[in-house]
Amino acid sequence: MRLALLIRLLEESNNKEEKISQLAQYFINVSDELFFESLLLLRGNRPKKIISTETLLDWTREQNSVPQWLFERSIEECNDTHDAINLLLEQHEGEHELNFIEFKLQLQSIPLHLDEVKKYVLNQWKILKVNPDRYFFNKLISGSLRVHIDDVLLFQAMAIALKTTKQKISLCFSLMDPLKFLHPRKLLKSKIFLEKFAIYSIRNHKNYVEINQHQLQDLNFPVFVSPIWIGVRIQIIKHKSELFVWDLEKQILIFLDSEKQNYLQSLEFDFVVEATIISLNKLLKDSQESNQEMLILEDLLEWNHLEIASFSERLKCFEFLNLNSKQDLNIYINDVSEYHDPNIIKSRFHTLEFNKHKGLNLYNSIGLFKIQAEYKKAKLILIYAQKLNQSNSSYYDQYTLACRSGTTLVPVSKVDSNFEFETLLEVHNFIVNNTVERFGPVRSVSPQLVFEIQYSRIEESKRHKAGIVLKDVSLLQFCLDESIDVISALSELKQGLK
Amino acid sequence: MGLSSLLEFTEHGIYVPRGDFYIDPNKKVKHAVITHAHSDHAISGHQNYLCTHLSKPILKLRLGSKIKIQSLDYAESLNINGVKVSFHPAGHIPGSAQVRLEYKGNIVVISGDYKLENDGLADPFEIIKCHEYVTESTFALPVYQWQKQDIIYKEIYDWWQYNQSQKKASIINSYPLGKSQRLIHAMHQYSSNISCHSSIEATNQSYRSIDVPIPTLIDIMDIPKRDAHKYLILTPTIISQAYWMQNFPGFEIAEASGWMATKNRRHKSSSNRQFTLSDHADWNALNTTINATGAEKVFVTHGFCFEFSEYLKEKGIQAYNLDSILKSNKSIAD
Ligand SMILES: [Zn+2]
Ligand SMILES: [Zn+2]
Repeated sequence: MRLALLIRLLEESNNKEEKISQLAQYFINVSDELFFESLLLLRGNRPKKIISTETLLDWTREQNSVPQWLFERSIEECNDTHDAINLLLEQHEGEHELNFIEFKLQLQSIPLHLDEVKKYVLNQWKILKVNPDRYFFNKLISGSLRVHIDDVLLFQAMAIALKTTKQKISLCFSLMDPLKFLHPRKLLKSKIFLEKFAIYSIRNHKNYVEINQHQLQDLNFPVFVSPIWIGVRIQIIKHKSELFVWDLEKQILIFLDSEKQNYLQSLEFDFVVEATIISLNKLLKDSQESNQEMLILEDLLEWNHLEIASFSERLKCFEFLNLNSKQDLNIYINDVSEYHDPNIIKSRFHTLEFNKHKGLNLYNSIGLFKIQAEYKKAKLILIYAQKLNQSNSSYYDQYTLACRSGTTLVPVSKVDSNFEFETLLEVHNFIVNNTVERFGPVRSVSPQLVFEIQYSRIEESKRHKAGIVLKDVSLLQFCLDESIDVISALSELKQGLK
Repeated sequence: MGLSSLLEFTEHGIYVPRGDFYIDPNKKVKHAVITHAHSDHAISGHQNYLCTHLSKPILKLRLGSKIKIQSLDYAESLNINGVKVSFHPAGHIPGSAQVRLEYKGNIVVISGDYKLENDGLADPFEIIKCHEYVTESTFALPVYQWQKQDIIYKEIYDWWQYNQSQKKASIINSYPLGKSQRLIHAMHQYSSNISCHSSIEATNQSYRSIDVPIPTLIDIMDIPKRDAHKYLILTPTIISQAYWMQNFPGFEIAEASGWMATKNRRHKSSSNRQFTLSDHADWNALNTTINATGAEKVFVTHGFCFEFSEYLKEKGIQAYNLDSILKSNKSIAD
């Protein structure tokens, strides 16, 4: 598969599995050089813009002799300028496939003189395959290719293509200096990689047995209790001067902000810690800025390469890290209390803020347990959207969701997006393309996008038209083109009121 | 005299008062002349049908064997109350025709749906010189320009091969009358591992009965499970949970239509892959045709009527938005 076609399929697919299999198929057959170049592109590294889309449109107009109003009507029909450009140009039988490596070289060599650029572009228009190569070319040269594939997807695809694990691919990436890029195929077999992987391979992380509130009284007391935070669950492995952070859920390597990273790296002990990263401003896509995230250290799995069996001992060792003085870095040790009475644990559980906490971890002489909030699921439909933080976010990320009531839709929840960037962007694009009306910063959206959500409980509310409000709502996934019938009915939701 | 020398535009559609018959009427009438069997042109309930020999079995299949139907060969003419009526190939689907009317030296042609590219099944489109031309305009915007069909067939074949390598069957959602037969015919040159849904097969049989060369295909139910991924299967609608699919280890669904030209529409498609293949004339073909007919008056129907008629007017042709005329005449009648 050629890169242009891959990009078109990625751009036009909504299905993660499909994207992964297309990417994997692409990686299997691609040359080493192109492997590297396409990775850069897929991870959002666009070649520099040579010419504006507006200029490309002007040149298209010169090629196509239709009157201005019809030209505009045609662009409107496409609802996408680049698609329109490609369709308005002659649909010849261009033979050439776009060679991305060659393209990048050409970009370096054309003088940035408008006439020269024009000559180059018009010639490419003539020789390139119309679909999708010419479209891809136009997007590239005007800097408007917005393809950004999530690393998790990329790693998964590469793992399939290279017949290895996502963890290894992820480690490869952390070791690769993009300038001296070694093909992962070679890197995977190198000695340095294998050594590192031995150090970094993930520790078995502790399993917590889930229990319910009634089972609390059967526990052996005392019990150490700490909240389970909602955030990114990680394992931090420090070995000599190196620090290695695993995202436990996605199974990829990630990085803390540099201040935290430097601080932990500077400690004289080696350790393995389980922790949760809580994004203080989840709307900043690149939260590389320091102190935008809070790090809550929860458990110490290893201390100078020793496992410490007792939880209270582990807590003491934590104190050696001298972390409680590190509040300026937003690093905290999780709040742990010792309890002797199941009823106190119960009331602790009920006072949790379920938008921050999922439940409680419990540790005693027998083992590890947890009690978690029981979330309920519902399907709601998007009716309004706005930007949560006007100054920081250029994307629509706050949604008003409605349920069904008879034949009408009634809003029952206003939710901030907790989606990853890629998904956020998809929803954003949907909103922009399906706006019915604007009221100041709020857009009313044609009711088509259905969200599956979860919530902790439901409360009566006089302030809301529906008479109820959902608490601690988070978005699980969205789907288009579902029939209105799948949306939860107000009467169903109300049954959740006790 | 009205807008046209021979035609009247009524709530039932295009009427020829001199011969007392309608062309592709959208309500039940006594005498209907039918360009082709698509449901937006041929409805049931007329008292008498007139069509081409090739359309006859298809019309019977779709509207019932009891309809009263008379048929003509291409270019054979029939005199109806002094109006000379004849059919001429439209290239849209096998049997489709343009209707040529001649009365006292005045010639009016109603195009029906048409395309210029020869698909190897339908008799190729013929240009007919006329004074007035009624043209379709399904794709009458400059963004709709088709690539040569062989390029699209190759794209489909590559997709099919790729799916096969992924152990997935290839399913194409396509229109049962016309598009499906065109695809079967075209893809059969690559491989005979092609099957189709029974509703498409019914049409295939009718066509075979009048010697349209549609290859015989294996029944969906007879596809061996272990070979399912080798097959290209045509279905009329996207049925992702059809009983026969349960036999399949995996499949990809594509759609082939002129509308798939724009990303906008592809995005709304529920298939995984889309191909731009149309049985209608594209922007260039429409313009070429209208020039070649030499018509002084053009009535634009069936699509981007407003845009195309305005454009033709700017080119100095006396053009009318027929759909808006039909609509306003209809509301007067209501
Ligand atoms: Zn038709
Ligand atoms: Zn039609």
